[in-house]
Amino acid sequence: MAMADIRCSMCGRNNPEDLQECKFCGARLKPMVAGGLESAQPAAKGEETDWLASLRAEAPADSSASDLVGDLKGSDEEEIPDWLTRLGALDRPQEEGAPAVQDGGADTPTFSLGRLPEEKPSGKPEPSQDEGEDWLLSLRSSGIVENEPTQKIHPAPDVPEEDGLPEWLSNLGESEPPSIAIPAEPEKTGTSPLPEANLPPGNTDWLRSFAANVEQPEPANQPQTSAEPAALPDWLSDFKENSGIEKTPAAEHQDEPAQPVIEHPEAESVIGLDWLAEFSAEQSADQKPDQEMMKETAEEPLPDWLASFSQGERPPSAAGQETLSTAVEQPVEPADSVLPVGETTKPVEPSEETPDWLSAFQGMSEEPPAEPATEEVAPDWLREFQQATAEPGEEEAPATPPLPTPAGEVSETAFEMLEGEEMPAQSDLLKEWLAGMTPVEPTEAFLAGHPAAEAARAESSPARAESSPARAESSPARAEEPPSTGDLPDWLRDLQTSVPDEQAPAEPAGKAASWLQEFQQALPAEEGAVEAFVPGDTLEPEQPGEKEAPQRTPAEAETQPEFPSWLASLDTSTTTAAPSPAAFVEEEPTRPAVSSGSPFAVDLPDWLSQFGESGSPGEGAAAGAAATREEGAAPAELPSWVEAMRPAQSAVPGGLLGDLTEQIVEKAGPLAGLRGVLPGNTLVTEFRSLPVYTGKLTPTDRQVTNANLLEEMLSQETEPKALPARRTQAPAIILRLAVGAALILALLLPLITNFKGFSPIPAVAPGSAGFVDAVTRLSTPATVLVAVEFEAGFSDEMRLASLGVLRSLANRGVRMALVSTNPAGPVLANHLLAEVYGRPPDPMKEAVNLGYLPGGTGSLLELAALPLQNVSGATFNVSIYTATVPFIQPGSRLDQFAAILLITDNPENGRAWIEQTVPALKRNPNASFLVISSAQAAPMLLPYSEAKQIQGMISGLSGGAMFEKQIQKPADAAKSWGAYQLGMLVAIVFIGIGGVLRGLATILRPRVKKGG
Amino acid sequence: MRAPFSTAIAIAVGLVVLLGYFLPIDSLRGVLVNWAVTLAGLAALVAILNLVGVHWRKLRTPKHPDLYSLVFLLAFLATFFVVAYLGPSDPQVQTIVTNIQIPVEATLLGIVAIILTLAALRLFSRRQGLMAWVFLVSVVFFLLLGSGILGFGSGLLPAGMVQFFQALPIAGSRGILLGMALGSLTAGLRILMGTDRPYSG
Repeated sequence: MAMADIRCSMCGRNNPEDLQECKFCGARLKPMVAGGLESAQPAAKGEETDWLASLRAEAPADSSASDLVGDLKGSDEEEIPDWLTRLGALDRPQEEGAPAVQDGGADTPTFSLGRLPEEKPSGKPEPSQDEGEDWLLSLRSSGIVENEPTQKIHPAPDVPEEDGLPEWLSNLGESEPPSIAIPAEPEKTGTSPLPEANLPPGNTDWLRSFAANVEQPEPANQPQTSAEPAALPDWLSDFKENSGIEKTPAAEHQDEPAQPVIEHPEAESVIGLDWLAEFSAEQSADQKPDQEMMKETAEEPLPDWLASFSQGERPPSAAGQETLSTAVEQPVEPADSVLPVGETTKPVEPSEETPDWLSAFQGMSEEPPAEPATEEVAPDWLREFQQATAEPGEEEAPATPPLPTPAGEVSETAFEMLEGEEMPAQSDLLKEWLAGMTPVEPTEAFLAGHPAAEAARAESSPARAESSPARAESSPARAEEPPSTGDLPDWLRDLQTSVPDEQAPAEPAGKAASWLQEFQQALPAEEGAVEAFVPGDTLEPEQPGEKEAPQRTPAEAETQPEFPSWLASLDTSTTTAAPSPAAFVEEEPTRPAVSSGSPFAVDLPDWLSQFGESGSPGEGAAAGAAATREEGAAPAELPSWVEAMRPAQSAVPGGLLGDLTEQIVEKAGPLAGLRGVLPGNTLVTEFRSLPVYTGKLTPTDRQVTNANLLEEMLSQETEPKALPARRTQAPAIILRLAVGAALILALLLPLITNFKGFSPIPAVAPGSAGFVDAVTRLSTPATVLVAVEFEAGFSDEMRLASLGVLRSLANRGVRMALVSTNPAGPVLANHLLAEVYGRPPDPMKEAVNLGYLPGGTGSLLELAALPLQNVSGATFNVSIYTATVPFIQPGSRLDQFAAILLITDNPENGRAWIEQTVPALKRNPNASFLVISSAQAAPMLLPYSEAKQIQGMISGLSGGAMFEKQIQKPADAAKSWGAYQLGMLVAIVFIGIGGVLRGLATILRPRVKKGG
Repeated sequence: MRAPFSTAIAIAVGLVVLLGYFLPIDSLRGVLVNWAVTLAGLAALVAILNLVGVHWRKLRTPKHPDLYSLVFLLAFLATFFVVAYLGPSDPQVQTIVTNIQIPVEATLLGIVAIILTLAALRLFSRRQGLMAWVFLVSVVFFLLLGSGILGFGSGLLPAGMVQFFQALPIAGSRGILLGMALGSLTAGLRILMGTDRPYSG
């Protein structure tokens, strides 16, 4: 047996079967069954359960119940339909299918929704499926007989009924009534105002809804068959098709109120829970003791379905399967013609000959008729049964009237209540419940529309008017139940007969499960058709639950692989079925119908497609309502833009919150033991403060280093740099004075001390040899032209250098004519002549100063080229001297002079004299050009001496001293020789000291690298 | 062409003087050289007048009159009028020039000697390097050589070495003279060819 999931009534999620509590919400999954199952298992193995035994033992003692059953039975014996009679007569199904059926009947109390798919083997053969279908077909047929007159039943796809159809089922088909006439109530609307007056106050809603559906047909304009086919699997459709039941217009009109109800997938999904929810809700609301409620129930009139049983509704025809098919196609006989107005359908009371399997089936599938008694306190097995039959009941009892309480609410309340340990024993409850059933028995009048019954029913109508979606949805299914409920369940029969031994020993639960397995296994075989049907059934876009189905993990898929698609659809629809009752009831008529344009239309069966095509005008509105429900189904989904505005970090992920919430178990108070019922406790952990982001940087070490370097650079740029200290002028002045004083002292000391110098006067100087020879060769009557071309500042040097030569010339009687191109030259010449002669020379005999020659180099050219009296510049002076000096002849030229003695300190003047006058002088080959220069100009004139352009040259003090030494007449030059050397030595010392100190400072100074 | 007339005169006079060295045209060349010497004498007079005018303007400066200019002007006028009155050959005039001009100028040359010594002492404080050291060594060596401390062939150094070192400045000076001769030749040719016209203003 494959594992199946049990849907949690709290959260709607599937759980493995072995769990006692929902792993998601912690709610008990089998609050009532937990013990029952465990206790029922031994009974299923042959031991009769205590509660059942006690029930059976006490049932006869309960006169009310026995009377009720007996009345029903007695009444049905008269009006029992043929098909039911035949069913009773047919023992073959009992023989063949007895084990399963009886097992089911014996184990009916433990039949639960959760176990339904679980017990269904996956590889069950078709015949068993057919068997399961057949009994449902029989139910369906009976339901159709009662409720389907308002439906358009189209031929469903052919189903191989004959393949595995057992004979008993064939007989059942033959014996089933094709239809049940239902009195029409044109004023009935979708809201199903039930004739509560006819119902006992203690009856359950399903019973009322059943009565309402049966007794209060809706107006003909209501959409009728739009949903019923959707709620039916193919096998039911096939059954309808084969049953031959065809609605009459009147029947359609009568059944209209029930049709919209079945269109709600949500209601369909919670069919099995509606009545239980209502039961629990009413129980909690009424707060009545069970015993009292049971008594009240016993006093209340019999429910409608029981009334119908008592009236002995008979199908119009039951002539085999072909007859059924024919009957389905045939118009159903008007309800008026069958039953009076206000009278419920005639319940077909099962005959005593009803086989056990059928009784078991009835006990399993038609348990709802007994719900009125369990409204106050429902036994566990009954609740489980209700849960089990909830979803399959959709197909089985589409005409079930809507329940006033929402399924979810009911389930929660019921399970909360059932979780209580003070729950009375199941057997006791059953006894009481059954005891409450007994007062229903004498309600023949109620069944026949007794005013008292109607009044009693009306008492409970307000609460029932709040028809929950589940109840409303289950109404169509329950509308189909009356025919099946017409077959009195075995347990009722057992109660009537109060003969425990009459029934077969309690079948093991395992057998019952196998029976159900066969039944459930048969369903998956229809999955192909059912799946195609399910979308059309819902007639809505994909439900969330449907989307979740393919997303299940493989593990989850393994836990519930046996769920047929139609169950799955019911399951998923159950999760979404929680609209408000009023809205639900109002929406029922506007249930969306299958449209040709629907994307799911391709999956719809033919009959459903045809139905969709011939939908009522209210289909559009129904579609709109469905869309509204769809929109309402996801109210928690915020728009994307709202989601975007929500602080993302402010809340803990919902999953975590959900987990935390689900893990919290209430430990005190009325909610003690429940898990995850107060999510608000975790709100503290749901929200948290927003993270605070700081702008503090976290630089790396390298970044810090770079920043420090940059900061240091910037600080250095702004720091003032100390200027180098300016040196004072004092040391420089002192040094300058010291140097001057040293030099002056060095010059004076030799003069004072008659220092002869460090070395003797040189005998020969460069170019001096020719000079001495030329001077010494001059003698009297020679005239020498002396050019005085030096400045006053060089007069001392030139005087010392030339005095020896001039004195030598003067001594030898050479006449001299002095000329100068320098304006100060004639004065300097006179001063020089005065020193030579010690007096002013005699111009006529000794020396004459010819004056100044203006015009520079030009005057020299003129002097060299023209006669002396024609010389412009010198004319003045020369004319003077020439006129008076006999040694200068008029008209004479330069070549008349024996020598030209140039005394100059300027190399330019020496070059000019040499270049301009030498050519004219060379006209006298004995004439010589002699130069006395300063030491400064000597290097520039020595080349002319070396070139022999001039015949001799002396320079400076040394030249004068050398000449004096050569003529052996020491003079002023020789005296100044010591001072000259000492002065030069001091100067050299200062320069050397300065250079050495600076050099040492440079060497010792640390070098600074460039660019560093 | 700017100032062609003056250029032509300059070129023509230059060519005539040049040819006077090669051709017997001394009379023409002598006249031209005599004009040049006269113009040069007038230029000296103009220079004397310009010098008097500069110092006169400095003396007339409103804020800070240059008293030295006043001394100059007084000395100039006195000398001018004395020499003009006595004549340049008068011994009184010769005494004024000899006792004033020669000591002043000689003092200046003595100061130059001290300054040059001090500059050589600070040579390395202002400029360092190989050429500084070369300059320093050359100065010291040739001072010693010129002073005769090392002797002139009979002293510490042999005569040949002394003559060798004394001929080194002559070599340098001859190179300078050759350069100056080439420069003078080039300048004359430029003026003769009209390429360089310093007279055009």
